[in-house]
Amino acid sequence: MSAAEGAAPVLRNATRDDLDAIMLIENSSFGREAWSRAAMTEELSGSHRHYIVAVLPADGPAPERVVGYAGLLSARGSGEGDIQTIALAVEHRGYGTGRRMLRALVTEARDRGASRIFLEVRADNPVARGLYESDGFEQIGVRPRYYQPDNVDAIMMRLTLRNRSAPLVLGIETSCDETGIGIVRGDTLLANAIASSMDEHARYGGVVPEVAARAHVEALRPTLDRALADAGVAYDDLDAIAVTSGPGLSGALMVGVSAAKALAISLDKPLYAVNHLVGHVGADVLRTGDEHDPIEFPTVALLVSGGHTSLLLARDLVSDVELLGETIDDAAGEAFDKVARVLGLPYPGGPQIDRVAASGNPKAIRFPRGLTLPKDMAKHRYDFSFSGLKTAVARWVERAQDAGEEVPVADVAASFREAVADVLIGKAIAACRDTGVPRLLLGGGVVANARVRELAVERAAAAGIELRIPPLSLCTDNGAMIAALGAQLIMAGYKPSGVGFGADSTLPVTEIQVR
Amino acid sequence: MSAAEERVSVVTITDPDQMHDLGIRLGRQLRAGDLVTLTGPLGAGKTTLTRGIGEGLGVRGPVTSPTFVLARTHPSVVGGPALVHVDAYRLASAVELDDLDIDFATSVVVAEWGAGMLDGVADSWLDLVIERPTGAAGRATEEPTEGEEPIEPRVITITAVGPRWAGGVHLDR
Repeated sequence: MSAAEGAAPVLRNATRDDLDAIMLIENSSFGREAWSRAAMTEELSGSHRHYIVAVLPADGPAPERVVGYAGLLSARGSGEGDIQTIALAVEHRGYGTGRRMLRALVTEARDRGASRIFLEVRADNPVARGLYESDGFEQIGVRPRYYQPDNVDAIMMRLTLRNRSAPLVLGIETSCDETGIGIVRGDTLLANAIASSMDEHARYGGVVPEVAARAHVEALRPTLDRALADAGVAYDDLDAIAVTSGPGLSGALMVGVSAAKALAISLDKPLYAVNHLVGHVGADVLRTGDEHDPIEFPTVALLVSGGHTSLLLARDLVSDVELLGETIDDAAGEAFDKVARVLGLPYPGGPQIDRVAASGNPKAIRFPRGLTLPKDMAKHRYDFSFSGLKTAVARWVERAQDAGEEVPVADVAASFREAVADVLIGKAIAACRDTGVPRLLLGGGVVANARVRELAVERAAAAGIELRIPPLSLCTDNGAMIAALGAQLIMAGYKPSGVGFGADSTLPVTEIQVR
Repeated sequence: MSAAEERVSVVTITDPDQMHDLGIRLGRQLRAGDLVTLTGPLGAGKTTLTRGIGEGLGVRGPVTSPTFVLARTHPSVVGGPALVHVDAYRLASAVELDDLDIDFATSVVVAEWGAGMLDGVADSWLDLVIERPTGAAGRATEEPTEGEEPIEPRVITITAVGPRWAGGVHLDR
């Protein structure tokens, strides 16, 4: 009977009674290098040891049968562990039992407080090396001709155990004009330091990528220092570093990515490269002191800023995010900037229009709602278009000017703002309804817009949808949301990204972590 | 510039779909190294035209407004040249255009508000000026339909400059 036909072996602690069965496998697996019976006896009963066996349970007249064993040496409080041996009877290899035994030992070592686990493996055993590597062990050295008399090298490997329950993560965000450094412990916010180069862009009437990149270089060190001081932690305390890989401005992203790699390498910390837009969703997992229920998934998320207008469906934060729709021409924030220009208001247009609109009549002019007519809804149900709206405002203002009338700036601003808010919230609520997801999360700088917020509250309540709006400091671009997403990835058991990734200005939202 | 080097044609289109269609026909004629400048007031249809050019070239979309990022590169999905879509409105000069590090030789560059910046950068280009009705023109007797985006005609003046366009521009379907 082959192993595959029988029941899967179960794991239990080894006892002295298993010695005979263990020695059979030891001798057939390791031949001339096999441990002696005396050495094995000592291993099974020695202090700081933990040996397990994989057994096929008794089946009718057939007694229980040992098919494999594995051992750990780890003294409590030492912080370290050694995998002493793992062996399986040859006909039981290749069914995942070796991996299960390895993981059981890693769990035991973790329980004993180990943060580093070591092992040696024959250089000529690629199957075993592959098993260890795929479970996170990395090669740290070679002992030449360690296995005698075969004269084979030993590869030394190490697994670093992360704090998976509440990892301390530093997040770096430089996708646009904010240099954001955040520090979180699990889902608790410790620091959210931000430096903005917005004032430097104002005279250009918009973000200039080169200026933003240079500003990030200057702001990074002081912002890092501020975040560490705010959180009261040192670099050595960190469990991991997370960084925005994209989407965003290439040159700006590169500054953060380079800094993150430099920190990860010099501090020997794992590095997670994450998606900026998913980070905005991740912002809502953070506790900021005020008790609020943790965000639940799935959720629909509307992310609106100078550079993005995106509607997402996040079924799971770390594994399943889908882009429902986005702008097909201007981002919403950009439409605010351009209409502000038409109305003679300064950059950035969002706050300016919001200020002026406060005293205007939002129903004074019925401006078009892009992509909401039945003919558009088939192809662009969740997409946005603000180009036609912008043109309509420009035409309306020109007509008034040509007719020698004074342009009612407050009414135009209020009516324009109403059209934007109406489309944004209308499509977001429709997405909730269509997908049967009763939760809507708002993110991005546009959350600062009073009317967008107000309309969202109103319509979500009417539709029975739970509305979530993180505090403004976590809605605009920030490093805390990146740290939060990194922490969630770690807690879900995802492996680090390594340092082989780069900045990706058009990173799709489905790529939550860049590997 | 001598008159012999310039060939001017004027096209009138009636709605955004036709603008898109014009872009497709234009895009099919463009090849690596070609330059197009677009001039026209806010809402003239520059991005709509460029989206058509992108479709004609066969590049990865979506072609959206480049205003926020100044320049966006759309790689080809058919093995042709990439489309580099520039908004030069906020750039003061060709020097700043140069700062964007655009690969002119292997791409098709469409620069909104790029007219007048190309002397010295290139010897041939297409200069498109889009005019839309302004002020009270075109709507003198008629109120815009409530909630509808305004659909008005556009007049596009295409000036083909330099030896690349010695044979003129062919916009037939």
